[in-house]
Amino acid sequence: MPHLPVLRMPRRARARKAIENASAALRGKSVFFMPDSQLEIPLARFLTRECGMEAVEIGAPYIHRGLVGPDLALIPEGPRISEGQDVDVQLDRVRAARPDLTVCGLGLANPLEAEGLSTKWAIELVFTPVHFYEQAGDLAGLFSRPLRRRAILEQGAAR
Amino acid sequence: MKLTVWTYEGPPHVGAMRVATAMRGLHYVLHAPQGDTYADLLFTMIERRDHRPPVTYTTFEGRDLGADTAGIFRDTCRAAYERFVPQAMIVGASCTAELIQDDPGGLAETMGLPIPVIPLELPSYQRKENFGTDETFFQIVKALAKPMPRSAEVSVNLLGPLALGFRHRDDIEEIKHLLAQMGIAVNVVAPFGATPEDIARLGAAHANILMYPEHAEAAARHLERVCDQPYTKTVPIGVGATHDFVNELAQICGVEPKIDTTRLRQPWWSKSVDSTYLTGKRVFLFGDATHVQAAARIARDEMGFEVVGLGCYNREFARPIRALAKEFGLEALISDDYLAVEQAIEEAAPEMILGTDGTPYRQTFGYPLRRDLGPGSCARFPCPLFAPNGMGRRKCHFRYMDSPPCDGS
Repeated sequence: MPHLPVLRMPRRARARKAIENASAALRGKSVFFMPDSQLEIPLARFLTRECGMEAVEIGAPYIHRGLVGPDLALIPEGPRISEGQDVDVQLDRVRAARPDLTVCGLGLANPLEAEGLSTKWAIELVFTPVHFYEQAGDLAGLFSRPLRRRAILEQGAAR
Repeated sequence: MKLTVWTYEGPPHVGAMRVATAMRGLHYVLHAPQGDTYADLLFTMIERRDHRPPVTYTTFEGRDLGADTAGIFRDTCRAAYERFVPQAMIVGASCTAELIQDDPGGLAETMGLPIPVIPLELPSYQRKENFGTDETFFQIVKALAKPMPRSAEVSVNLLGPLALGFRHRDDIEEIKHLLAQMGIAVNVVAPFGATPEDIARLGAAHANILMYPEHAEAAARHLERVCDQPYTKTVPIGVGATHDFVNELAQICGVEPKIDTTRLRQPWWSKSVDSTYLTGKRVFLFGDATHVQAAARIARDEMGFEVVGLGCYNREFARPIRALAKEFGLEALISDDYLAVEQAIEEAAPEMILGTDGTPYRQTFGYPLRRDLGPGSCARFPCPLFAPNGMGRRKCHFRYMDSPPCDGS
């Protein structure tokens, strides 16, 4: 991209490299967003475009097309986009899809874990620095940690 | 209601949730906007429960306010009944939804659901969480419990333990252990683990044990009046109070006051020479009324401390706590403003504070702090790393209080 200042290229390349490492556990996995943090759409854009995940459903409490329209446009066709909250009906869809990872609020995380579904607490994405090139690898790492943890515990239980 | 960075109690609908979550076969339909669903995490995260509370929220949004929110409530109620098929339902509004005055109780009553539907009137802007627990449990008992023949054996109900309670699970086990020694059977434990059908057979017990007046006094009084069941007034926390409780219960039930003291170690620990430097330590007590009342007696009579200040945040119990303070030669502090509590502590200059989980005093003063008085926070709920062992553990708490006071240096 010739129009970018040359100085930015190494940072961007570094970010790409970091994401590549951190997202190894995410490639080809499915993700379901319950409405919670209002960051669902940009996060889904990141996970599908850059981490190789497949979004099943992207739910957000409120969708402001003016703000998240450009992000939505970058998400490949396929996932159901849902706005607002109807928790029991949404949980029915989670259970039917059995996604590899569900991004949800703390109120739902433990009940879903108890049903054998891996979750990522959405709130952590609000108070962890996840912006810009320098944090991109950490952002991918936030999503892969629950999957890696489950794998470790399953291995341990099998020993 | 006011803005604050920290509060002892939540709004009353959280109290209703604590009752509903403790029970089985009961469902709570709560008229509340989207954001209020966050109350779920008190149970799934703070208490680490593996199920959502049995609560269905209407989750109306801003754009619904100009339309038919009452209709949303009715639809939610019907959908919740069809999905969960509970034995009974409680219905009410959260603090936010109270403002739109849809009267969820009245709406639900006219829907003709084939189960008991119990409306809750919880005034969010005047009352708080403990009122919510007490009132909700009372309304459930009032609607479902009826006089009935007594059980053949001498039996009692354990009233008051609920979800997000402060070591309630352990307390139930301890009391069951005491009752077994006296040959008294347990008829029903409620709300903890009870179904609406269990509530309907409360009347079969010979008496009620009121474990936590904060959560079940209204229900106990109602059962005394309607089912002619006496209830215990002593809360068995501490050695002396447990002894009094056993005597009181024995008298009510007409049995021998038998108690096995072979597991009892606290009196010996107090006599042990290493405890002599606890003598006359100045302590300040603040928490829920029931635990403060118990802790005051333990501190003075069983640990040899000097109580230099005491109080509670729940105004419903202002009268007994004021009387208790008078007995200790003190003026009680009745306040739910943690800054006022901080100030009172500063003025009393204690060597130790017996307080609640999460209170910010430790940071403010650098005092040693035992956080054994409700409400509890996350650290208080047993997870696999901190297995509970009942009353023995409670005594352990006091065992470790003998660390020298921190002077902040």
